[in-house]
Amino acid sequence: MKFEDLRILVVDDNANMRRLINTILRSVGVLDVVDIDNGADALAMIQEWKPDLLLVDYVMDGLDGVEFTRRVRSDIDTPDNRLPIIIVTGYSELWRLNEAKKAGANDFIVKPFTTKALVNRIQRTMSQGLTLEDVGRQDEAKPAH
Amino acid sequence: MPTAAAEESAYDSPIAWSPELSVGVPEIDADHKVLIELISQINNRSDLPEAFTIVGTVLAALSDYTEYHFTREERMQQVVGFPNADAHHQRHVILRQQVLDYLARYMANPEDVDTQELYLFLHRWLFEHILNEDMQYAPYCANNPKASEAVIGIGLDFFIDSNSSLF
Repeated sequence: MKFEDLRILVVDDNANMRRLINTILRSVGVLDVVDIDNGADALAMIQEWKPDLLLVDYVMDGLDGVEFTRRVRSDIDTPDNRLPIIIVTGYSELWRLNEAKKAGANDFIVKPFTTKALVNRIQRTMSQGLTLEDVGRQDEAKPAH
Repeated sequence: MPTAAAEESAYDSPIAWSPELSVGVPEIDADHKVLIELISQINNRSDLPEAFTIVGTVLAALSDYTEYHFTREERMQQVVGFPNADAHHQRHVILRQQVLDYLARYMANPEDVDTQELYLFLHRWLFEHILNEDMQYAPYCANNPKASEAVIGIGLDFFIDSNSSLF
């Protein structure tokens, strides 16, 4: 899969940050981006839109980024299909990083961030894990029992 | 001749693309639109700490994107034989350093940077460069397929660490 073909879901309750992440993703050729302002709607959107990657704000009203990640891991992921999640946060304390890791996030990026840092986090996350589409294709290729 | 106050108020308006900014190379115009979109996001009235994450990320993105864009533009100038390429490169060095200086100042102490002043500076910084300097290469590059080819030749791997590659 080409970097520019990624489908990315941005979950952040701050409209200015959603717009900025969208601009940065478009600046590096990623045009298939949907943004949502809360975790509950984002969980529904994952089922409907099948993104390849999630960028999720840590601190949000309602479901925060860590709880949201737990819900994706328990309610949406399957043993063969782990949706890549990068947590975006304005706070760099170690305990937050550990919470995000324990919840099952793939990576963590601290605001303010550079475009290169974001692109490299995405590159690293995607090269280490299968996307939903990849898993789907593998399932299709498996012989029926 | 416009007064200094009139010029200042022109840059106080919302930054937006317009056809007179076109250099005739679609890929370069697209780069300029990205820079405009980034700068436009400084012109909000949010308070700290939200402003810190927004303005800091915009400045960091501007720094990365100007490096990418200037590299593409300079490659294009070489390919089409633009005679003022060296002087243009020197101008790029100064312009990028100005963004890096603002970024360093802002990260050291965001309250040391007046956001409205920063917005006015960047609006002027971009528009004056396009209108006064980029337009000099337009006759060499506009509607020239070699110009577009040279720009496209520098792609997104520019943003990737040299020890890894796009998946």
